[in-house]
Amino acid sequence: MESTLLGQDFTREIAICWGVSALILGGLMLHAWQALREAKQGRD
Amino acid sequence: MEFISKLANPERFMRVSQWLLPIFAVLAFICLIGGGIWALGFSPADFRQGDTVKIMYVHVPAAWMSMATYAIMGVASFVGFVWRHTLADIAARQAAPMGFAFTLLALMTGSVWGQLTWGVWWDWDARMTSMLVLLFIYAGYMVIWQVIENETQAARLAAILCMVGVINLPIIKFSVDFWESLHQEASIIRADGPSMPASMYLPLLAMALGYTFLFSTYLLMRMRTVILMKRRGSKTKGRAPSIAKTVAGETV
Repeated sequence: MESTLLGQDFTREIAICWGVSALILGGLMLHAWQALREAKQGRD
Repeated sequence: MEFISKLANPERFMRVSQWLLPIFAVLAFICLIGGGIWALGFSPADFRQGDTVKIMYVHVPAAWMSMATYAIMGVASFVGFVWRHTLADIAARQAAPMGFAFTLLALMTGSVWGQLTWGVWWDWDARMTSMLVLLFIYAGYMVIWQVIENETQAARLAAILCMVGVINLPIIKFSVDFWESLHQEASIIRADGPSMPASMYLPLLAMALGYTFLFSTYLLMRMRTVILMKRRGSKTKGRAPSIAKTVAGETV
C-alpha cells in the first residue's frame, strides 16, 4: 500500500519537534548554568 | 567499596568535575550542532515516511536518554540507599529533572510523529504506556523530594521508589517484542546490526552522543551547584546538613 505521506510537506511538524526539544533542553541548561554561576558568587 | 568511597569524595568530585565540565559542554555542542546539521540537511528522507523521519533524530535520543538517565538514577539510588553516600543521593536527585524532560520530549515528539505516520496522536500500546509510566515515576520521585521535609527520610523514600521503578526499564525496552505494538522492533541495537543505512544511523548516533554529553554537563553543573551552596551554608532545601559536614571535613 502506498503511503499517504509521500509528497507532503512536514516542515512545520519537524520544526515543532526540534524547536520544542531545543527550548526545553536549552532552558534546563541555562537554568543550571545560572544557578551554578550564582552559587559560585555565593548568592542563593 | 573503596572505589565507591573515592568516587563519592566531594573534594575529588569538585576537582575532577571542574575540568570535565567544559569538555562535556564542548562535546555536547559539537555533537548537537554537527548532528543537527547532518540530520536535517544531509540525511535522506525515508522511502515511505518522507521527511517526517527527521523527527526520529530528536525522538529516539530523547527516548534512549530517558531510560539511561533513569538507569543512572537507579544505580545512584542504590549506592545512596545501601552505603549512604550523599553524593549518590545528590546525583540521583539532580538527574531527575533532565530525565523527566527527556521522557516528556520522547512522548511529545513521538505523538507528533505518530500522528503523521499512524494517523493517531496516542495509542495505549505497551511502549507508549510504559513510557508514560516512566514519566509518572519521574514526577513522583521529584514530588517526594519536594514534599518531605526530613532530608534523610526523603532520600530513603525517593531511593526506594527509584529502585522499584527500575523494573519499568526492561518493560519499555522489550515491550515491542512481548506485545503487539504500533512501534517497530529495535532498529539500531540488534544482534545483526542496524536495520537502517549509515546515512541515517550515524547522524542519529551523533545526536544521541550530543544528548548524552548534554545530560552529563547538566548533571555536573547541578551537582557542583548543590555542593557549592551547601559549602556556603545556603538555607536552600537540599542535602544540607550531611553534605555541609562532609564537605567541610574534606575542605573542598
